[in-house]
Amino acid sequence: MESNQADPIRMDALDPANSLNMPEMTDMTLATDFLVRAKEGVRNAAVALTEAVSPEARTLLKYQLKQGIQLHREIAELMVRKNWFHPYELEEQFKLDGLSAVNTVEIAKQKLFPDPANRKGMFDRTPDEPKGGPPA
Amino acid sequence: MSYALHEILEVHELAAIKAATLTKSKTMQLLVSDPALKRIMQQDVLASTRHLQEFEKLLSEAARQEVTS
Repeated sequence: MESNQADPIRMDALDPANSLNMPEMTDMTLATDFLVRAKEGVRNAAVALTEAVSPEARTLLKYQLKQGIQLHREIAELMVRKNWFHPYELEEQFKLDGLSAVNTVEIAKQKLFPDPANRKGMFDRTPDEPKGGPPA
Repeated sequence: MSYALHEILEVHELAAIKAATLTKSKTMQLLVSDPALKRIMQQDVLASTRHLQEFEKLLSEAARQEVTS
């Protein structure tokens, strides 16, 4: 990530410098999320398979487990190809994880929705008005 | 065919997780710009939809079994 500014993220939220490399960073984040979900899907299917007894459920879960493994492999291969994931180079992966941790902390510090978003008073009636039933 | 209660619970939980994951894949797709990643996500949406339909079939069979037995 090349940038002339010392720390583009520390500027205010609307600064265009923050959009630098945004599509790639978005793809990387969503791919990581996808990989984690695929991984959990495989684990969930495997655990469920050990609990199943009927042949129908076992066949279904085994088939879904196989597909889950396939999906996980596809995502992992794509991420390695794109250099978003470095399973063999610990040093590289460590740098990348550090970078995304810093980015995440900076995003968390930002005030993303500075204007009040309360829509109370814009409706002709109160949506949450109690109807006289027992409280939830 | 007969299903054990614990496996039905397991399948039910799996179906709930699958539904959440499917929603996520479907919505995240719009934010992705890389074509290869997008393609995998679209495939996942199709596969997950099919999986959910299979779960639903199994669960409704199990519900019928509950009623008749």
